[in-house]
Amino acid sequence: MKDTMSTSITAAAAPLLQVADLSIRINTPKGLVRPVDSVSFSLASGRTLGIVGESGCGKSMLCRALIRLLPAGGHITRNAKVHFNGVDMGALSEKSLRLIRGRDMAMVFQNPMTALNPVMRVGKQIGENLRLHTATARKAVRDATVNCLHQVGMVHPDRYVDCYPHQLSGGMRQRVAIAMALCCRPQLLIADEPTTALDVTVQAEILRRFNRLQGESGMAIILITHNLAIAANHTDEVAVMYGGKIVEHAPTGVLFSRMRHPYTRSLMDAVPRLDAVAGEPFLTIEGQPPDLSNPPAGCCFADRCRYARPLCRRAAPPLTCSNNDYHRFACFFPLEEGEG
Amino acid sequence: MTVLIVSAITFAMIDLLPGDAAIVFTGPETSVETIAAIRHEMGLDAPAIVRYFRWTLRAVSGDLGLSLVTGEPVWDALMMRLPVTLELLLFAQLMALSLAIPAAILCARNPDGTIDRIVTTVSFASLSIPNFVMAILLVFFFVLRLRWLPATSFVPLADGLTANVRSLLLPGLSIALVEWVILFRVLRSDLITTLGEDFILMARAKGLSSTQVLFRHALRPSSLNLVTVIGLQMGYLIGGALVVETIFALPGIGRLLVTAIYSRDIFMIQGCALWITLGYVTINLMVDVLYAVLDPRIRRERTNV
Amino acid sequence: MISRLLTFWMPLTWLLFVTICAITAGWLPLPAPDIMDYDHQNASPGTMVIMPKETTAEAVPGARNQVYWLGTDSMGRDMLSRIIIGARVSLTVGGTAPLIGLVIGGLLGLVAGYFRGFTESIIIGCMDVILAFPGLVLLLAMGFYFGTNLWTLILSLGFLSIPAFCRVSRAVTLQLANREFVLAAKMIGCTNCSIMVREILPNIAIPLCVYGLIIMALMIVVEGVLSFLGLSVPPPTPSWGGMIAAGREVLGEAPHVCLIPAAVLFLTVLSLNILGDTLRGWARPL
Repeated sequence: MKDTMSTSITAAAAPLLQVADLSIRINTPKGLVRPVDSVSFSLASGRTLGIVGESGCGKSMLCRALIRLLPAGGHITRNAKVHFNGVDMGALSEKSLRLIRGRDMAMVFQNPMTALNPVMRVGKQIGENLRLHTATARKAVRDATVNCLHQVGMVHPDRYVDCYPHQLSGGMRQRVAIAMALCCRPQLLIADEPTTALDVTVQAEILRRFNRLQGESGMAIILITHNLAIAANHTDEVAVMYGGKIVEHAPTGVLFSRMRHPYTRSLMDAVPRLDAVAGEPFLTIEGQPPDLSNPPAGCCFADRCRYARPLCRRAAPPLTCSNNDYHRFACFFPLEEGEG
Repeated sequence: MTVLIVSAITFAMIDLLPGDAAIVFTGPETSVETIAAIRHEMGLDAPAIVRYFRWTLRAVSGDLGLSLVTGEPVWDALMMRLPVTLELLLFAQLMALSLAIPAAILCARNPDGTIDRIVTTVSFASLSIPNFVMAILLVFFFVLRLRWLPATSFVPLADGLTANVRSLLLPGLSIALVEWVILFRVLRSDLITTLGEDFILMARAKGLSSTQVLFRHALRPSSLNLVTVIGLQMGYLIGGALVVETIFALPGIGRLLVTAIYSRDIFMIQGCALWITLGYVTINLMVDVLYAVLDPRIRRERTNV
Repeated sequence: MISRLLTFWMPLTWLLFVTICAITAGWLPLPAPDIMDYDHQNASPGTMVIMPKETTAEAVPGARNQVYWLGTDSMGRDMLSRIIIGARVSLTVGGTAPLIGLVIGGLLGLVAGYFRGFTESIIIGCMDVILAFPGLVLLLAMGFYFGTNLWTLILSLGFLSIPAFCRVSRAVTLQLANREFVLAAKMIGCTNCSIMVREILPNIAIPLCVYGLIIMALMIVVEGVLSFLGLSVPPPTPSWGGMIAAGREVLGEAPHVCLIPAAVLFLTVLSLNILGDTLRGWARPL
C-alpha cells in the first residue's frame, strides 16, 4: 500500500488521461489479432495506475497505443477515444504527436540493455531528449544531463555520462533509461515493467524514487507489472488485464482486500506464501491464455474459471461498477464482497 | 607475413613459366653464347632461392628491377600507374555507395513493400551482368548511340578535374553498377534487423521522427558489416578493375599486369603482384581499424584482450 | 504463384534449356560453328540464305534454305551454333570448378569447425593466404604454365573457390557442433569421424549446395572474363567471353555479334543467381 493509503479516487479536476473504448487490431500473417479490446480507464495527475496481468494479456501493446507507436500492421480502432490533457490524440497529426512523445508522455522499457542505443554514449542519448524538447542551450546540455542522472540516484554521474551502455551495470542502465524519460519532466510516465530485469534492492529503490518524483512534480504514472507485490505497494489504483480486456479495476487497497473477479483471486492465490503449509503444491491457474486472434465469444477467462457457468461462455460480461462507482469488474457472477 | 608468402609463391610460379626471360629480352635471333652471357649478367643462372633473396632485398629498397620489355624500371612504371587504379577504385566504390546507401534506406523503411521488391529485382539483374559486359553496354549506349561521353582517353587529374572525372565515369560506372548490389544487400539486411530493435522504438518514443531515427540511431550500428564488405570487395575489385582498364585503355596497374603476363615480363609481374597484395592487406587493416571506431563494444574487447 | 514462377521455374527452365542444347549440340540441325560463310558476314538475326547447290554425288539435290537464327559473326560463322558450343565451355567450367571447391572446401571447413583450436587456425590461415592472393594472377600464370585448356581452368578456379566454401561450411559446422544431437552422439561413444560424417555432413550439404549455385554463377562470369581477355580455351573453340570480345570490334555496325552472347551470358548468370537465392530462402529453416 502506498504511504497515503488511499482507498478512494481523488476527485481531481478533469483527469490527465482519459481512455475510452480503446481497441487495437494488428494484421499478422496469421490473421487479425486483437491484443487490446475495449479498454477504458482514466488517470488523474499525481496518481499511479498499476496494470497487472500475465504475459500476453496486452499490457505492453496498450502502452504502445498510448504513445501511438504500434508495430507495422497495427491500428487503433476508430471509435476509440484517448484524451490526454483534454486533447483528442486520435485527431493529432504525426508532428504534434512527436511533440507529446518524450516531452509530455514518456516511456520506460523493460529491458534497459536493448532499450539504449549500444553505439551511442548514454549522456548523448539523454541530451538528445533535452535538445529536442527543451530550450536547453547546447553548452548547458551536459550539465543538465548530469543533473538528471543525479536525480535518478546515480552515484557520480559525471563519471558515467560519457560511457556506453555496455559499460554500465543493469541497474545503472535502467537509471539512464529513467533519466531519459524524466529529463523533460513529463506529465505522464508509462513504465513497462521497469524493474523486472533488476535485483530486488535496486527495484525497491527505483520505485521509491518514482513515488518521490511524483510527489514533487505531480506526474502521473502508469506502472505495468506482473509482480503483485509491486502493484500492492506502489500504486494508487490497479487494473487487472486478461485477454486484452480490463477485468477488474479498483483502488489498490480495495482490490487487494475485496477483489470481485475470479481471475484476480486466482492471481493472488498463485503467489507463493511464506506461511503456506510445507509440502502443499503451488496453486496455479489451469489452462492457457486465450488466443487473441480468435477470441472466444463469451468471457475470456471462462475456460479457466472454476466458477464459470453457461452464461459466461455465451456472452462477454461488460465492465460494470459496484455501488460506490469506483470499483469496476467484468464478471456476471463476481465473488462476494469480503471473500478476499 | 602474408605478403611474404604471396611474393614467394608468385616468384616460384613465374619462375616455372616456360619461356626463358633472357630470350625475351634479347629477341629470338641471338646466338646461344649471347643468351648465356646475358643470362649470367641478369643473374638468371643463380639458383632460385638466391634470386628470390636478391629480389626481396632490392624490392625492400624500392628497386624492383627493370622491365624486360620496355627497359624502364618496374618501380617507376608501377608508381605511374598506381594512382590511376586507385582513383578508379575509389571512384567506383563511391559511386556504388551512393547508389547502395539510399537504396538500402528506402527499402529498409518498408520491407517487402512495393519499392523494396522493385529495387531488389533490379538489383538481381544488375548483379548478374559481368562488369566487362556492363562496360560494353555502357559504351554501346553512351558512346555509340547517344554520343555523350568519350570511349577511351584517360585524362589525368593534373589536366583538370572535370575532364578527369568524365574519363573515369564510364569505367567507374561499369564497376559500380555491379558492386552496389552487394553493398546494398548487406546494408538493407542490417538496417532491417536494427530497426526491429527496442532502442529504435525508444528513440521514437522520445519523439524523434522516422528520418531522424534512421539517420541518427539506425545507420551507425548497421554499418559494421557494410564496412567489412567494402574492404573485402576492394580486393575483388582490383581484379575487376583489370578488365575495365583493358577495355577503356586506362593506364592502370591492372592493365600493366595483363600486358606483362602476355609478354612474360617477369619483374613487372612480380612487382604488380606484390603491390596488389600489399594494397589488399592494407585495406583489410584499415577495415579493422574502422570497425573499432564504429562499434565501441569492439574497442572494449580489444583493450581487454 | 507468380513469384514462384519467376523465381524458380523460369530460371530453372532456362538453365535446363541451355544445358540440353549444349549436350545435344551435335545432333541439332545447325551449321558447324567454324564454317565461315564469307558472303554473309555480320548478318543480322533471322537472315535466310539460300545455300548453293552441292555438286558431289552425295549431296542433297536442290537448294536448301538456311536460316541464321541469330545471325552470323564477322567471319560469317553461325552465331547460334557458336553460342551453343560456347555454352559447353561455360557450363563445364561453371559446373565442375565449384564441385572441386565444394568438396575440398566443405571438408576443410567441417574439420576446422568441428575440431577448433590449432587445426582450425591452420586451415583458416591457409584460406587467408589463398584469399590474399591476386586470384587473376594465379589463373593467368597457371594458364601459361599448363597451357590454356579446360582442365587448367577448372582446376585453378576450383582451387580459388575453396576458401569460400570452407567459410560457409565452417560457419554451419560451428552452429551444429554444439547442438544436442552431436552431444548425444558423443555420449553414445561415436568416434569423431562417424559423427562428422553421419551427423554433421548431411546438414551442411544443403547450404553448401545452395551456395554452390551462386558460386557457379560467379565461375561462369570469371570464365567469361578470362575468355574475354583471351586466356580461356583457345580459339577456334567458341566461348561466350571470346565472342563478346570479338564482337566489340563491330559494335557499331553489327551490335548483335557482341550483344547476343552478352545477353545469353547475362540470362544464365541471372538464372543461377535467382535460383540460388530462392533455394537459399527455402533452405533457411535449418
